[in-house]
Amino acid sequence: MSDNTNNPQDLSSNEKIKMSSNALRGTIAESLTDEITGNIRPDDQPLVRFHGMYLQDDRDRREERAAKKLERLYSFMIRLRLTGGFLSGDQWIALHHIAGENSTGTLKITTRQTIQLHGVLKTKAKPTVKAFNKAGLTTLATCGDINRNVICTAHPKQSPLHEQIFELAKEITAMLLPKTHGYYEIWLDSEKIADTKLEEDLLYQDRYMPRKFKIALAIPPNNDIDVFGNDLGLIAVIEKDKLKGFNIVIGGGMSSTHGNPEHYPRLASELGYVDVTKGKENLLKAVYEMLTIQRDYGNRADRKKARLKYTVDKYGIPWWKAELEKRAGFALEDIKPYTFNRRKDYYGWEQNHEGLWYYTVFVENGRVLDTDSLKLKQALLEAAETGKVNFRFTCNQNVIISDIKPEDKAQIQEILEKYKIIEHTNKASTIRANAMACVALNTCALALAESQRYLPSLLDKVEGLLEKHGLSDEEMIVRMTGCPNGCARPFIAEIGFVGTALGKYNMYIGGDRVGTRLNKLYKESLEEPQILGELDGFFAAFAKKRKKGQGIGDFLHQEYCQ
Amino acid sequence: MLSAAKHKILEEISASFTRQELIWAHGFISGALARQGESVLQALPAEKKLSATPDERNNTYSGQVISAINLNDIGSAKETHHIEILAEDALYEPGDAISFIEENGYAGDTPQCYLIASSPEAHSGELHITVPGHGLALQEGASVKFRIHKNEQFRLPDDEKDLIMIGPGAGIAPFRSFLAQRDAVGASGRNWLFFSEQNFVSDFLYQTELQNWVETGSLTKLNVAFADDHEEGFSLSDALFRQGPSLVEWLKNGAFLYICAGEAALAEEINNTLATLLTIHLRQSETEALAYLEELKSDGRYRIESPASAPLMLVA
Repeated sequence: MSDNTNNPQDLSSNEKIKMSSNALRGTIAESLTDEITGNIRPDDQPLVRFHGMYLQDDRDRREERAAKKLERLYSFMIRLRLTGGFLSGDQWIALHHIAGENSTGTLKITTRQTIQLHGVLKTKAKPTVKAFNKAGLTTLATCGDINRNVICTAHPKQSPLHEQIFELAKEITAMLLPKTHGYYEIWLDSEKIADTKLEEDLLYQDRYMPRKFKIALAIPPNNDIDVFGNDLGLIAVIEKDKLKGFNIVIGGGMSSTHGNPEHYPRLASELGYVDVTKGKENLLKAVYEMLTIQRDYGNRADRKKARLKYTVDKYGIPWWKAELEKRAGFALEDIKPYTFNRRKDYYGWEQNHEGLWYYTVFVENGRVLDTDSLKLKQALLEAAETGKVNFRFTCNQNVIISDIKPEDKAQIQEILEKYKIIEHTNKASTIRANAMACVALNTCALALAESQRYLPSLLDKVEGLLEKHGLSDEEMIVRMTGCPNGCARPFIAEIGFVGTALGKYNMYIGGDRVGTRLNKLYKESLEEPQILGELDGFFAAFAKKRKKGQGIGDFLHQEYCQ
Repeated sequence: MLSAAKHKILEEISASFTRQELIWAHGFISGALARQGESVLQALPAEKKLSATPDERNNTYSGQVISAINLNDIGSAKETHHIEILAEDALYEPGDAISFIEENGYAGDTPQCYLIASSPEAHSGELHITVPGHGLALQEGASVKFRIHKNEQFRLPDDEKDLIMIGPGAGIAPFRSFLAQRDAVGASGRNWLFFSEQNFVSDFLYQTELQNWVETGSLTKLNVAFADDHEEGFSLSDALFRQGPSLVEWLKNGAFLYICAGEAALAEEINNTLATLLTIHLRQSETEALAYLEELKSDGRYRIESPASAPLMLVA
């Protein structure tokens, strides 16, 4: 089979923009200096994503500003690359101040273990990237058709081998960065590259990936990173505290379109196992060639069909295995047994194998900010300023104050108590502590409905229902997104809500607790009273009929999805 | 301190004009004064109510406010009201001004003149003004009576002439009229607008209209200065400096140069900046540069206006 997917005349407009972009430069520099608009040129919009930012606008303000003869209130969302969600204490301090000066001030922990800032005006974009760079942080390739932030099971207590796997994630990140020098020229005022051979990109060539590419490394038995929701998942196989290798799963992805069966969420499929006991080279080779295959065979005509999951379904797993073995030059072994038994964060204090302490803070929808009732941002700043902590972000949008020596724990505890962070984390209900919502309105251009601004108030009411049915302590994974692209992975929740219009949500039920089964569309375009009515019925039935130890996702699957 | 010459001119016109009229009139008499080597911008009289009322015979119109919006967005420290008046029979040209007849009290204690911000060609049957601050309380639906004040000294140059317009803040008003008119009639001359305000997000007056004119080519160049955008501040003069070579080039090629600034000090600063640019880019001495600007004035190619607080002059 050859590269027969893409006739040149069928290429999507994004493909043409990438190929003629001069290594992702486009006219971004000119767009930035256009002083009469906060917008950038249309062809620079897809390109600027490769530099880690999306041009958005405040959708709440469109109408009023139009009447005032003002353009839309444009600003950038700027996303960092934090492999495995790690940030040093000093970097947190820098980030805190950059956010305060150049953005809305809110630090948003994403569903893929990194931080993004919203509301960065065009004139502030370059100073922001420069300030990041000074703090040793980059935004390169955190959006766009390229390998995104590489995520990794967050909590170091998960395994004595956590650090080893985290280092591997960093190597994968480095291997898959684009070679363009344009980022440094445009944002950091580096001199223009003398010889373009120096930025020749053997992996991405001039076309990059057909679509975003997401990689995740999981350390069982915790599936906190939702490994099956990624294009490429690596599941660590550990025997007797030794890292043996990785099971490779491919073709996961959440994005879909309402009413279009051709565009669907998919869980990653098992492909094979790679041994690493004699070195990590084969694993890195397999990862690299997985991208080259998708680069060559992915659909570049229809962006809705351009993710790896469609290429997997088109060619089938046996073909993928054979093609990968051909390109990588070694045979994959059969999948090794693995078990996941949880998919959540370890709130509160935990210790790793070396005795270092970790405190996981509950951060509702990942929004780190100061409010009248909770000074979370200030508390984290003070913790950082002790010089005795690092930070790790989780795919459930929480933060772990990390790597605290036993002798420093009391000092951090004091800060957490002073700002009532411990009380805040402890009092989060079970359902809320495991819930997630995407950004949606007012800045996401794709949003059809509210998400992070709405879920907290919906949960207030759901908590009442749970109490009514005696289910307050029942673990359940509830997720909401404002559109079917699925940033908060609603299709692998036990109960998922996906916006269809303002105030209306499709309801999905029956995913399993650990994220190995997709849920199913139960009812369409429900408004809040109907949502609460359905949940009331589910909870009543669950309380009465559940089998011992059965989770709500499995129960709903059994009762309503057969 | 006022010179004898200024006193004489001011005395002559004070016989029939109010103080507001005199503020406007500085532009009108600027040529004469400047030729005597003095700044007209400091020649304004002290607070003093002068007698005489303008001619009311043939220029009184009635109209209805069909739109009144604050152009500044939430978070701005400023208010600038764009007011559209339906007045089908009002006859005016770009450059003219209006004043309201204060029978209904909406015009406040000190009636003022406003340079018209609309174009009879582009906004047929309507008359728009741009009012800084909140002194003029006009609401949608209100009936108004007003006079139109001809301003023959402040007209669009011939269609083929290039025009540089410097309109900070509400000073943009007459230039919106000029640009709309030139756009509507398809004038071939190039247009260049400088605009400045405090904040890009909230204070970019008529932003979308200006962007459209840039898009269609009616506005050849648009340069802006917003103080909040730059840590060290960024003024209109900074924007002019940045465009220095091109500005001087346009002037050498015969472009007209109009300034409309609410504050006299700002107009003076712009004038000084232009002189400095001439010394730099034409290698002129300061005296030569000032003489060059005076020559432009006497040729009618250089005008300084004020958007509001204007006098009622030359009633038709």
